[in-house]
Amino acid sequence: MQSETENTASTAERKPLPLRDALLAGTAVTPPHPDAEILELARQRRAVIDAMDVGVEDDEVDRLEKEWLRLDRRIMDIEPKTGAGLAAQLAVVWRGLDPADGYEDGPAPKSREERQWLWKAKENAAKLDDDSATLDAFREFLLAQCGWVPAWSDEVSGAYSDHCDALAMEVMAKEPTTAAGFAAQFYTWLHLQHGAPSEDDLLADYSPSYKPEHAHFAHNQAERMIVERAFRMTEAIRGEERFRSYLRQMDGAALGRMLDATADATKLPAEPERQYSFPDWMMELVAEADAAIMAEIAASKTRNPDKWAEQDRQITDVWCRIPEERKEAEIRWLEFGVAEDRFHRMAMTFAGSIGRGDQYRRDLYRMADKGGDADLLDLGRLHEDAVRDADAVHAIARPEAEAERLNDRISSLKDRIFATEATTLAGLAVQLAALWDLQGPTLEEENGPLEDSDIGLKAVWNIWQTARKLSGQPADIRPIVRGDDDISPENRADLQAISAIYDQLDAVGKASVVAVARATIHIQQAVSIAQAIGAEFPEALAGVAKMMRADAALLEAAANDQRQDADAFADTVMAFEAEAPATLALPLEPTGRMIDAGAGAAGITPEQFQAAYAAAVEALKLERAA
Amino acid sequence: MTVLSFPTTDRGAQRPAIRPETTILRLTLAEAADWQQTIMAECRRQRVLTPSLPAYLKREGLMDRCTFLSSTGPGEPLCFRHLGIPTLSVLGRAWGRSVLNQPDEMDPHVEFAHSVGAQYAETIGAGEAIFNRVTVSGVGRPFVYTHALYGWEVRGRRAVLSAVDLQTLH
Repeated sequence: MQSETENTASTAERKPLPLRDALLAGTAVTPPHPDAEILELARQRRAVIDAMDVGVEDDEVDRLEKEWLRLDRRIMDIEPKTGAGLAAQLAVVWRGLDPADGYEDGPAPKSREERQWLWKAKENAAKLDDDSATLDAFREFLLAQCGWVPAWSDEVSGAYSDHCDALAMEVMAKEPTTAAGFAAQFYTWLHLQHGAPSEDDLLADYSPSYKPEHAHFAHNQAERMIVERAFRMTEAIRGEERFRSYLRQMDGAALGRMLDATADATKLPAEPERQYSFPDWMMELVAEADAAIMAEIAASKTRNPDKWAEQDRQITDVWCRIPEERKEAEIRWLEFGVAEDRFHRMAMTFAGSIGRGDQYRRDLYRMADKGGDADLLDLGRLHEDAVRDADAVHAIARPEAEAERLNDRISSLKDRIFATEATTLAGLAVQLAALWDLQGPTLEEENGPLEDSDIGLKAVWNIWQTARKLSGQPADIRPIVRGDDDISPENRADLQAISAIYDQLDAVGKASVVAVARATIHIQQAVSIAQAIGAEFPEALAGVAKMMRADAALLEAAANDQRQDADAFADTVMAFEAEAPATLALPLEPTGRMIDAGAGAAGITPEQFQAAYAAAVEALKLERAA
Repeated sequence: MTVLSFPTTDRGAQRPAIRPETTILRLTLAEAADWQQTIMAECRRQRVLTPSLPAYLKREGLMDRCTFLSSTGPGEPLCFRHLGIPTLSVLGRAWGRSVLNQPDEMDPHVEFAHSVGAQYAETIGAGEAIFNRVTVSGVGRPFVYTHALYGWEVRGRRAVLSAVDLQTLH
């Protein structure tokens, strides 16, 4: 019986992978029902009954009746875990008691009262499971917790905490009707009592993170036991695949939040060359998605062979035209793309829906090492075209209205350019180009500042050109200092500092996101220096600087988080440990025997030895401090 | 200097029947010694736990006065990683060698360890400095000390720095 049960659960009746459904449809799916086996048998039983109701040949009736009986027995063999399972069993009993009155859709009006009761009991059993109000609220709350990142920033973290607490109170406001609902409330209460579980706990296991620090805190142990039992009472929350089943039933936005939390947790490589890695469970998901998509492709090929043959022909055609040296790269990209593309688009949408799209994209670009800022580059091109059109309009003195329309378009494009966060130097260059335009260069200055141009204008030009240069575009960096004669000594120092910033920008090298972060910090420095020396920078520059500061702070926080996560804690412990043997080995004051032995060996008085020892201790302290 | 005797070799020795008693009095940080305040201020300033803290303590010559405990993960016990001279003065080097890298609860002076352990848990939970006067009797000779505690928790791993100022050894 046991082996049969396992077999049933694992193969024949199993529905397609919910994750696959989620990936292909992007919609919510449900986790396996705890009474899935009973419900599936009940479905088969219903099919048999329906088949018999339609009317079949005699020998077929025989076979179906046997099948019906077999299914009834198997249903009654299994211990139900939920109301739905119990309802299915009661349905068997219902039909078995009195076939004459046995309508599957309810008792006949004139049936005996006991029959009416049995039916009512069956209906009530089915209703027992419905604690969806509590569980839905609980799910929302859990997902919000997943999005909580401790090291984000105090401000964000605080706001997010409040958000989690509000969701927790939503859960507490519900009236649970099942053990699952109760467990959910208990867990939530623990959250309010002890604070959010750590991220590790969330990813590994939904058990509460707090552990009794000390065995004698009996109430802590008791809390833990209660919550564990409560969780054990419900397969919907507790179980081997608990976490994954949650993941599977999440809708798109929720998965986005998960991805986002993960992206935060694994944010920035400490060194650019270090491999960016998602945690294992993420990779499993990608692999599963891959398999699901491959299966869909195979199915589609069977359904529509002609279309695929045509595509194969076209692909072969295109492939032959690709230069040999690029083919390997293309293959790699295709291998990555099949699984990644759909997954990425889904994740992107979800991340966007919670306002973290840019961050997710940045992380992905870092991972795939491919340029970003497509939106920004598009905007840049539109801006360039619009400026050119406007200049042409002005040149040939078109009607005022036309010029105004173009000017409006230019400023709206500028707004959008400044509102988009740059993630690459090319994107940054677009923003700086718009900024340059805002500086209002005169006609002579349009193609670069002149020797006697304003220092702010020169600074923006050079920052822009440096960004262009670093992103592999042609650039024209102008000398910023005119000549020593016109510059006061204090200004010269500032100007040299600006020049040094360009050098550093130059040294940053490849257009990685890390490099952008550094560049933004440098540019921010440039801005503050320019402000310090009294150059007039327009508000837009302050806006850009603010955004860059935010970006830089974010990346810096990420880098700190990474360092913190990877090593700092362990390093600190090691640093303390390294000191321990020394402290243990060193008596600050010599013992009586030490004094006697030392003084005797050196032929000095005990007092002299004590003085010598004290001096030695001080010297050792200094040596260690060095 | 050791105030404890470990009757491991002396089979005839009996442990004293006195039950250890620990009285912990919460004080404000303002009442701490200057150097204890300095260390707490540095912990607050650095906020996250990085090797720059032990580096700072070494540089300032304060390492000797600090005891450091850490756990390897959630639910794992706090273990002694570094013992300060004041702690060793009270409990002895032999004790020090026996508890280093051992959980604080393995401390043979269980009662004492538990009372102090609760203080550790508090400072880790609060992530803020706390300062106590601790009076202990029944563990060797009675003694009074103050400790300024600062705790950290990083993804379930916990750590406590205890800056101990031994006040009296009766």
